[in-house]
Amino acid sequence: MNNLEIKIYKPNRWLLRFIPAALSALVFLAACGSDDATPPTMVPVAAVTDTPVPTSKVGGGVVMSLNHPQSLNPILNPVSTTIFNSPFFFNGLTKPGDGMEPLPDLAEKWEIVDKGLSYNFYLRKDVRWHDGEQFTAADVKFSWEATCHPDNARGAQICGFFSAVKGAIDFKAGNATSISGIKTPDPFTVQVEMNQIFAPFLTVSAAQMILPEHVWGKVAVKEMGAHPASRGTGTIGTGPFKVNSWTANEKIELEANTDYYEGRPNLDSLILRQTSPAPPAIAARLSQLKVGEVHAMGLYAAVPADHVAEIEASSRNQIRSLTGLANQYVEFNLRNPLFKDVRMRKAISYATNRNELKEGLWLGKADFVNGPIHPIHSWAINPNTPLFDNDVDKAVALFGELGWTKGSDGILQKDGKKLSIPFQGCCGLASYGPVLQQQWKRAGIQVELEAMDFGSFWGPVYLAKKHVIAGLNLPYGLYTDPEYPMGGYFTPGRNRSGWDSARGKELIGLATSTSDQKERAKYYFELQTVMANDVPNLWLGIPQEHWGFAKDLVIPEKKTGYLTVRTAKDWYWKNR
Amino acid sequence: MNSRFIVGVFIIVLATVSALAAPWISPHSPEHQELLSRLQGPTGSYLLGTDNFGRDILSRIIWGGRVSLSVGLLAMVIAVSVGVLVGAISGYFGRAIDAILMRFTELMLVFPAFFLLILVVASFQESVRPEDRGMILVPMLGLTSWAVSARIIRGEVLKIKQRDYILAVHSVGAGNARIIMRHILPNIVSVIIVSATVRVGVLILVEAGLSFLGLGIQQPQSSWGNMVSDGFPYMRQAWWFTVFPGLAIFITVLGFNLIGEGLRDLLDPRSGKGRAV
Amino acid sequence: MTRYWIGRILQAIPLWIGASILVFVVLQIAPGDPSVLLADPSFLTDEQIQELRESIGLEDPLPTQYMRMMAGIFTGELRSFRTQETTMSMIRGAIPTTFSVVFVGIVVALLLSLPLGVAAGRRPGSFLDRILSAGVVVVISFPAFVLGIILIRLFSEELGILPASGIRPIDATGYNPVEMLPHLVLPGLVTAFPLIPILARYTRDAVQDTLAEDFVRTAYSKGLNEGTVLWRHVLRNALVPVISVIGILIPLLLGGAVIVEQVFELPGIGRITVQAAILRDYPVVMSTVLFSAVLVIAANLIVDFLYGVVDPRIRLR
Repeated sequence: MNNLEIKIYKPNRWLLRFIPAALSALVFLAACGSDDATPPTMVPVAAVTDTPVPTSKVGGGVVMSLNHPQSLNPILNPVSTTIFNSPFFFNGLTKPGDGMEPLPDLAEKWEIVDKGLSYNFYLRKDVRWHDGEQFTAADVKFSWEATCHPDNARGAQICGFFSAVKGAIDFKAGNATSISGIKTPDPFTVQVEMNQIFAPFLTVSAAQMILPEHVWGKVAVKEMGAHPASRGTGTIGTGPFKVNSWTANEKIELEANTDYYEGRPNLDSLILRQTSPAPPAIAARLSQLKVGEVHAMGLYAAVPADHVAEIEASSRNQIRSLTGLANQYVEFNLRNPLFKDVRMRKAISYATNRNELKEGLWLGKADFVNGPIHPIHSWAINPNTPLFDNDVDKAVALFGELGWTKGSDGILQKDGKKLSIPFQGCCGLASYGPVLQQQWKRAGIQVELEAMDFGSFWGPVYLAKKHVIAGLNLPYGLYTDPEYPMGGYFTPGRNRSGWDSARGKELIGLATSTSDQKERAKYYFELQTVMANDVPNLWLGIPQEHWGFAKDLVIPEKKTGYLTVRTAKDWYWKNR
Repeated sequence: MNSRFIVGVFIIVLATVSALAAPWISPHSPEHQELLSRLQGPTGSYLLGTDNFGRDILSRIIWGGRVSLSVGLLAMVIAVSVGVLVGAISGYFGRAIDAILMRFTELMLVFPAFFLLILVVASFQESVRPEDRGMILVPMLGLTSWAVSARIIRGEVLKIKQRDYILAVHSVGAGNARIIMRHILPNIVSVIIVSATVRVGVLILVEAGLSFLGLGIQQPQSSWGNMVSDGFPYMRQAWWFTVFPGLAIFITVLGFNLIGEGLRDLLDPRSGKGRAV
Repeated sequence: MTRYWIGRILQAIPLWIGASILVFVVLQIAPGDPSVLLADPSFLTDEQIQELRESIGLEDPLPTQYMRMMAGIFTGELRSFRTQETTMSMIRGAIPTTFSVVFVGIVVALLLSLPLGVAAGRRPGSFLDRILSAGVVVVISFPAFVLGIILIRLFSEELGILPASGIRPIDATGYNPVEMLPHLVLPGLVTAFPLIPILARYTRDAVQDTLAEDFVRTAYSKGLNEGTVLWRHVLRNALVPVISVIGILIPLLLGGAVIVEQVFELPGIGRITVQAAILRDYPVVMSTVLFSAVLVIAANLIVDFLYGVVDPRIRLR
């Protein structure tokens, strides 16, 4: 997805010891059979905590600095800010576990039939909407169909994750009145029939937020955006918090849902305070945290690496450094004749010193993955891919092979033309751009940095494929499956970079065609090797995300900011 | 010669010379980063300290001055030219032309210029390379601030129009253009000059404000405004990062205002009237 | 008389329409497609992108889009591309913030500048007068946003006596002036800052001129003391140019509100405008700009009217 509302203005740092999430994956795999016979496989029922919460934990409110979503209707609005916000008041059938594996949420168990050609979801019977109505399978069918509704222009990208469901494409095209593959034989069972196996169905599609059919069923999809319930009045969900009010540009006020099926949240109230991407806002946020006007900030509002020491030194706050939200990378436009030869791309990669970026820019606090997959999907990451890094001599040699030689000013030239490359980007380019510029100069490349605001860069430059080299960062930390960004950014034929590897495209398709994680991993491993050899992108690093929050606020430890924000129900004040 | 004028001239000459001589007097390249020396206070080699990329603040102030000064001066030229043109024509010809032009002027005055600037600058940024970004700013700044000058000029022209010798020249058959150029304008030169110098100060502040918001000059090119903005979060640990560019803005604008005041006193001592616009 | 005012109001209408056309044209010329900011087009097919554009009316001919936007403004049904909230409701929500800040700014400015101006105008050339003149130049030259930064550091972080941001306590449900007061102090000061020198100087000049008038000398010769003279005669006359200046300053105030709102994170109109401009949310930009235009026009009309009230000589023009 795009970093719509805010740029990651200053990258974060702090290397977290990376504990493989293989454990949870192993449990999952062990539970699934993988033989020729296809008995339905069961997943354990979610444990409901019946132990009453100690009363000293309950109470109090938290003010959190967060970018507001465009609307409180996640079906219409599937961008990053929505993904952070909606778990406060909605649920999906599944939710991501510590390794992004699917855990039961509204569905207490499910069966994977025929290795993923069909699913049976058994819904909880004890869930009530914020207005007291019972949650049923009709809500699920309604929500999924609204996502794929032909009038839902904005939600179209999520519909892509349902496109393998029987009848979804017809429905989207307006040729059917419902999606035939989604059946609700009884109020608490949802059966899904697929045209082909789509591995991310459990992690992505089934994790989509469910909306109440009794509120939205009669509203035309075209009118949903303008409906008051999208704007905070009468917003009904199943989540741990209820929406009290939304004052645009200022705050969203939430109160505890005391009837939440997993037990009420500890906090009585949660106020999401709007923050903005404009430069003065960074200092404003830090001030608010320091004086205690804000009790938590992370994700796009996280503390910049430079200020971590300052916040840590304050008696009021603490810092928690998590695996970063975004993988910063540089993308070549392979349609540009300059970059057609892989040696050119390799040479520029050699000119890049990733360690200097990490130490100098992110103060040592960053992870690195040589591929388009976030560290949270540890099972899919290939640790042994070729990386062309930090070797100016090799770079110059490769340039030489291509006919570029250093002129008297140290800049490479060929046929009288200098190697001067425009480097375009928005958010974050102001931070790593100058460093890269200086690094590449040593190899003889002259870079023209063109940093612009998001709106000017995204449409007119990047999506129009007019970029030469683009500096990008995508919020991978939000994606519950490695497949998520592939379609939009990497799949040959659909990507903007012009990377057209046939094997790459094949691998991306194969990786979702089986539910067996070990097999998927094989495909992703090979994909990363192919990409690493082709160098359509330069992966720079994943700066850590530094959460700042009040010392007395207890927040469960999770690996990423997104998983942390999803634990809001369990936050509490100690020393009350 | 009054003291204000002299101080103002001194400041502006200093600023202009450093801007022009930037390639020679700047101790470091403004873009060169020394990541290991980031956020250091003033030292021997970094007289005003370093920023968060380890770049020399003094050098960036000098180079930023080139941008801020040139933008301010060029925008002023546009603003004053258009203002004089509109004001003189409007005041001189009167009636229908005056009515139309004055409505147009009111339109520009009615527009909260800052909003319009934000709009235009935010919209037009992408198609321009960073070094050329000033080229968009300049006409926009100029075209949103001519209205005030136009009104003032018009007022002066109206006053002068009534004078006897103008009527005399007119009756002799001199062409309108000639009258305007030869007889009217020279009499309001002092007003024009004062207005122009004050305008530069205002425009520099506006550009600084826009860059502060992230809409004017973009990184990595330095302008005093975006340096203040970048330095804002570091106020506690590296106050020099914000304070010195802020001082640069202040002193330069002060210089222009002092010149304006001084000129006003010199050229028209009767009018002890302050007109800050 | 009434005809005159009706005439003025009617004249304002084409002005306002002209402003709307100007904004619309600028928006259209500007590069950047609003639809790409609504959903990530990387995941959409070309037809889907087209549908997205159609859903906000971007595929219609320009005059149609203009008329639709203007109609929406009049009916109050114009909606933001992004959030689909009506722009009227957005502006309405932001008004308490912007107005309070501007109001406090003007009040503070007047409270500080009027006494200074009067004191200086009474004795032109005195020490105080010269300090005022020098001070005026200094204050005009100082960038207000730097002042804001310094004030936050000092009063909020170091001393902890004033809030760092926001227009009211975060858990407030209404706009209670008492609750808002601490939040308005710093933004009010920063807003007042650029006004003070201008108002002080105008007041000083006006006082100085008025004191030189015949009727003042007459008052003195009648035996009235200085205080009464100043209060009853001089101030009333001096206020005339001061009021007129405030009228001109309103656009400046609104522009200044933009910076103040960003620095202090206030949910006001300036903030909405900046964000909408950056995100190409055309309806919001049109609405806020035209709204500001209405404010400015109205302010100028009111000022001229007050002019007439205060000084009967000007009433008939």
